[in-house]
Amino acid sequence: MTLLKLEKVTKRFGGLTAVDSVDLEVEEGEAIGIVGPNGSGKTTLYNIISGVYIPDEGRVIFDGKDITTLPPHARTPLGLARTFQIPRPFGSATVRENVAIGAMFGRASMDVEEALKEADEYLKLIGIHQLRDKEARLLTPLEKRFMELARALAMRPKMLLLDEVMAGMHPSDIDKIIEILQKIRRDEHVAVVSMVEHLMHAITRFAERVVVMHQGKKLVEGETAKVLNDPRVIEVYLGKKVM
Amino acid sequence: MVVPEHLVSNLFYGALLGSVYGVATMGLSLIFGVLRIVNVGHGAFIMLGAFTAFWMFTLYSVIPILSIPIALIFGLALGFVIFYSTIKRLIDAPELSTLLATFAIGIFIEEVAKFVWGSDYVGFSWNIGTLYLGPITVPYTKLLAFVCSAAIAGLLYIWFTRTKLGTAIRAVVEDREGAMVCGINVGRIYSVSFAIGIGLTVLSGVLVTLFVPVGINVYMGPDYTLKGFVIAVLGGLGSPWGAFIAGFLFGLFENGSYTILGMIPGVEPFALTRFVAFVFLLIILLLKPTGLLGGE
Amino acid sequence: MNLRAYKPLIPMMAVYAILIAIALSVEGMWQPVAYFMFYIALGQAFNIFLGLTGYVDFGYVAFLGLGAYGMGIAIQNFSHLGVIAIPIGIVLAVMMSVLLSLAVGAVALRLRGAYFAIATIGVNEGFRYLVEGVRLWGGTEGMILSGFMRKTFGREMTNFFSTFLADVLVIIVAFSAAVATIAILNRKMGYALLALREDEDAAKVMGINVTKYKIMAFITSAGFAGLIGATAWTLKLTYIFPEDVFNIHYTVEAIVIVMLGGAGTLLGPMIGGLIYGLMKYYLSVTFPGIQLLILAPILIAIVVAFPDGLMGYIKKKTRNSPLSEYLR
Repeated sequence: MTLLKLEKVTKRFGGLTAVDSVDLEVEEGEAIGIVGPNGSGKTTLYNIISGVYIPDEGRVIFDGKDITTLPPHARTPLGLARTFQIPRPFGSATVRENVAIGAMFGRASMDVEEALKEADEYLKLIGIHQLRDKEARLLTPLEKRFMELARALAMRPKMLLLDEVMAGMHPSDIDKIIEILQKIRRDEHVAVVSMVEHLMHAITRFAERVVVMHQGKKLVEGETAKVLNDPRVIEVYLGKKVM
Repeated sequence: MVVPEHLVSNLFYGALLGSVYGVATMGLSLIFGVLRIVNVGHGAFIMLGAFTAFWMFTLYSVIPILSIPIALIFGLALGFVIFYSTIKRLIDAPELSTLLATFAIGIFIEEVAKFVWGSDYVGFSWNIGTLYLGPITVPYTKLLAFVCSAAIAGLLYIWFTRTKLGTAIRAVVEDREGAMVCGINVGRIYSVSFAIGIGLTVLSGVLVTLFVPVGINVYMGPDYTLKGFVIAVLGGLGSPWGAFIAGFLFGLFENGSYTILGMIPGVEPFALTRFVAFVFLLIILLLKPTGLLGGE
Repeated sequence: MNLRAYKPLIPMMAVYAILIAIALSVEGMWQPVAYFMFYIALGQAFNIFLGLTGYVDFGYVAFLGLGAYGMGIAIQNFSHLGVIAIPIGIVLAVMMSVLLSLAVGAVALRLRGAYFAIATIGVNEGFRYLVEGVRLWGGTEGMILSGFMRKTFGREMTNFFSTFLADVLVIIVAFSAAVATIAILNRKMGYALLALREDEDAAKVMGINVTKYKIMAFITSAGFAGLIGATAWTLKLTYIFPEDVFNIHYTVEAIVIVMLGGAGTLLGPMIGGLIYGLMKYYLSVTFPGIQLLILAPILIAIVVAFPDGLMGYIKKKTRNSPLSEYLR
């Protein structure tokens, strides 16, 4: 079943069209990669899906509901969760509290006690339980990224939007993260959208389908292996002019 | 209308005073534009300028016009001292910290001033004659204040557009990160802009004395801080030129409103003018926080 | 209800008990203790907004002012009903400050940071000049209630109100504000405010309805402010002047107390209020007229070098000790 549907979504900033009439469909439990160089409109697309921006044109449909103009806080209960390219922890809260906030205000919508217990579970799952009582601002950038993933998972989303979550991680950590993501896809039918700037190895192993963005438009979409060999994609990444 | 002559004269006076308001607010706006800090102690620096003019005149018979460069140098020095002792450490701190710090600095200056000068109202009178022009009568000192304000704003404009440092400051206002990438030493721009902002503000205190010669008091500042906020927001926070024009408009508004409200029986025109000004402030903040004169 | 989460009220109750014991047993100490309690109440009430949300409301004193007028209006209009006028005044005070906070909150809380701070100054000054400009509630002449109160309640009762009842009510308000604070901290609302204070945009994306929680904190804080104005000012002083009750200095004092004690903590405002009250009281005796000269650099020092306040520091030091359950 289709979980997310973008219909001809457009967002402009002044004279610049950041996202230009993009269509996108994501199925329940699907793993999809969104690839594109810096400035290709990926981040704007995420901001439109999570409700930070309202598109100038087009519609956003999630789980059968039109959420185009819904504020961000009204979208998470429907089952959306995301991470940020530059992690944004709640600095003076502990790691455990950060994750618990996810459980409280996401689709899980737990009360405080439950959420704190739940947070422990996710910290164990991600493997940063030993950091639970540390203030989040004291974490290393990599630890912050693990924490954001735990926080997003604790929201119990139907769709998880990941932003460069595996960049800079050790290969064994990447293996672990991919395993966790595959598990929530299998067990809970969570759709995982992963956004990366570079066509790294991890995304080719993980994503079933890849969408390549270029200058605000969808350049190519299809099965991962085919897209990677598409001459247009290769040209974009070699820095040549397209078509 | 029964008193158009009265109104014309008051509006003219308002325009002259408004130009001084403009200069008095340029520093506030510059500091916000460059450092993203609202100087809540703004008025205390105007008070220092007013006292500079007062003491120079009473002790050494230096006329206020000649006190302008003295006040500017004093303000620049004070600006650097405050920047390096406090503000520098708060550049990346949350707004709560900078708001409180500038507020406390303002109070500290006032209290030191009170300790040294006492809390009495003082004043001086510098008389060089009066201009009579139809319904308008205006002392030459106030005309001179207007000429000085316009000249200062003009010189500042030239400095901002024609010099390397001025251009760098404008670049930082436009885009902090961008300026950094272009190799501009942002740290130095911060200190220089803060000092110029304070210098301008202290300087404007000298001009203020030409309008309120007997209203010099260590607690005169907060009133100007509040007016400064209204004017700065009207002109678009962070835009010194917007502030200058907005100051002009505010002077017209203040005197016009005072005159017109004074014709309504049973109200206090002075207080009600303030009330109207703050209502304007709120409306502008809500509808167009970038200021009526500001861009997007 | 989980009583364990309310343990930090125990040290607070101990401090209150000591203060009340001193006030009742030592000759001449009732008024000084009442003076400290005013500042503790002020800090405790303001902390619910400033401390928990991180928004600076420079116009906070307007809520105290409206509360003061609420009590004044009740005394003027309902004193023929006898002592009932006092509870009516308390209800009216809360209603008036809550209504203003709803109005201000609905519009100004859309603004952030410096813009919000400037807007709130505008609200407070605007309100003051409205009262003076259209001669509302006596205009600049204010309300002088002492003669009127003596006539209707009797001299003894009026004295009892202003030298005892008002102070007791302030103590109750301070403690209630503290209970409200810990109740908020223990609930989802506490976590929502923590998140929005740190990163409002991220909090929104995490599913937090930031506007709702900001307004809730704002209203709660304003309601307590109204109570303080009604009791510590109108009932105690028996007069109201707009230039006093809208004086931005009280906002500043509240900010100093919250920052000194530790913004967003439960016990901070009590510690800050006590230290501030003690310093101001005894400095005004030993160095009359230069309290502010001493307090301003202290505030600068706290902001620059010590932004977490005393309680923030204590909490950090005791993080992994059994004491931490009692300190919040």
